[in-house]
Amino acid sequence: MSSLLHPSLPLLLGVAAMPLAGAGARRVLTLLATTIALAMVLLLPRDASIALRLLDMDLEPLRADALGRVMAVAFTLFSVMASLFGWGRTSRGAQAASLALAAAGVGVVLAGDLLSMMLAWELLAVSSMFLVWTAGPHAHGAGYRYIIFHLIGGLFLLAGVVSHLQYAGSLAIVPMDPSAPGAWLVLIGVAINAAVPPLHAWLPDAYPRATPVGTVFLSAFTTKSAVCILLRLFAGYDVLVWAGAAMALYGVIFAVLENDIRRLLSYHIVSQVGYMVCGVGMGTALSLNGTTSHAFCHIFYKGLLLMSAAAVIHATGRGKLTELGHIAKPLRLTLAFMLIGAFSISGVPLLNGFVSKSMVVTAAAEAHLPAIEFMLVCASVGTFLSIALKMAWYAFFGLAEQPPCRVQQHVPATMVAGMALASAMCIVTGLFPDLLYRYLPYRADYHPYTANHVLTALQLLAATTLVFCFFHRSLAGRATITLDVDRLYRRPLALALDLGGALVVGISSSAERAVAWLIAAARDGWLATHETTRRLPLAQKIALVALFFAGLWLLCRMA
Amino acid sequence: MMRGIVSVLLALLALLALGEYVWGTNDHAVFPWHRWPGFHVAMGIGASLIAIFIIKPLGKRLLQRPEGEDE
Repeated sequence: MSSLLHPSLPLLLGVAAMPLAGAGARRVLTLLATTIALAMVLLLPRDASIALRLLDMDLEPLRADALGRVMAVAFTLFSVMASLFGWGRTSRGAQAASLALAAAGVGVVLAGDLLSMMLAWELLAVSSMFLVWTAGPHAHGAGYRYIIFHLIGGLFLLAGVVSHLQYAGSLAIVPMDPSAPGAWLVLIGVAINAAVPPLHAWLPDAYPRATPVGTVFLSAFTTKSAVCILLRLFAGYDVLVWAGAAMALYGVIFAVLENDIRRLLSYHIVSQVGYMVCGVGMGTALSLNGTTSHAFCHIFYKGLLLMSAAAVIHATGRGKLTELGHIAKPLRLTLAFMLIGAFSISGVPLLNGFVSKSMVVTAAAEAHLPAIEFMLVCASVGTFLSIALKMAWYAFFGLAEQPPCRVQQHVPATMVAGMALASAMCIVTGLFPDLLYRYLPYRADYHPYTANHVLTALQLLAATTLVFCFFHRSLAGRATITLDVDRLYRRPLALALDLGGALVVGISSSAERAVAWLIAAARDGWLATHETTRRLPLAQKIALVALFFAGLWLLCRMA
Repeated sequence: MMRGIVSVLLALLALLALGEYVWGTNDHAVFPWHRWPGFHVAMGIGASLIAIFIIKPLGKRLLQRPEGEDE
């Protein structure tokens, strides 16, 4: 038996202790649990493992290989920052859900077998749903759609894992043979979590409806843990190259149109994960390292962007470009943090996005994929245009004729501290990429700071800025909503949920009455109630019969 | 102010293209266009114009609806 402890443990203990803690204790508990988890991940010995045998299956809930360690460090370090950012601004339920989410994310990336991975995977979905729900009744629909999407994904995954177990005879996480039964089922299940279009609509639907701090937590785990599983199982699958490049463009197209800043940033999660999916599909050492480093860096710059968006919403009570503007002066520090995040995601040299994104784009060129390289570069231009220029400009400056947005309250020091830490990560990783590169899982030689890389990146960014200067009015936000594929299933799903709910309520109330009738019959004697049998409504009779058969089935199962 | 920014950007772009011509000839260039000075300037301008003049109007017509039609 191993003496190692899983780094998810302090996070799960934090969840368990949450109902007992007062408001002040909960804040400390959240920060403490995430910090301990970070320390445990940093202290994990290389290739440490926890193996156990359960129900005749060899399980490995912890396998600290290079990829798992890099991702677990990113998850836990970001959790510390997000906990600090959300200090005092999250409910008990949201704090518990955030810790559970972090535990599940760490569980997925460190899992060495498919069953442990699946358990953490489902916890990821359920805790995300609760985190969305804690925002209030307006988020309930999005939470339902989220969990239904992920349950369907979980079913694909389960079917695939069972087929794989029958085929390979093992649950170990190893690269899947495309011809193996179940491989494509697992791929669909993972693609849902990675938000590959058209299976992506849960993301821009649910994330902006969570609380602002909840969105910060949500942004880190689900898609990146899916990318980690793609790296482990599906490296070199050609279909992922095109799916990833299409994702990168798809997210950008919707971000260019979007007016809500958190929805805009959610579409950029789809776009940036596209780079990672594309890198997985290329399957070269450089592209796989690029995917790993981009996932690592994305957690911090996207977190920083969503933190600054949350700070804007906290200060002004508004989150749409058409309702913001003229707040650069009172929120200058938030603007600075948002620009660091925006420049990072756009691949500006000296920041972390440059050292990771350029690796994936270079890998596409070196793999002789000119169309893919072209699509990724175009997506990069769209990213800079829609975040660093459009969003930052219209949120903080706005048009001259736009009425000024009133800042109602200051951004608290803990929020500033969270953003400062995330900014520091973006800058430090950008300035000293070897701090990250030395821990990457594959052997590939790459130097981001060559004259050519820097000059071409600066050319793209300066040319985009030039066009924005001439035509920025055309990019101004409009008070509109953007239709995505979720429009196709929202109404049928709402109808199905309403019908299902009515059916459940009907059956349960009928069953309740039937049980009450049975009790009355037992108490007063059969004859006393016999007359009423004729008056028993049909639904209650059906419920009675159903209850009888359910009891019979239970007895048979027990026997 | 905008005129000043545009002038600075134009000068910067010229310098970057020149810099690429002098120092940036890529030993690792895979495709011929990697060696063309100013290629990425053209790409930046082209992609931005597509976003502004094709994606934005098309999206407005096909994908966007007034607020309030949500849910």
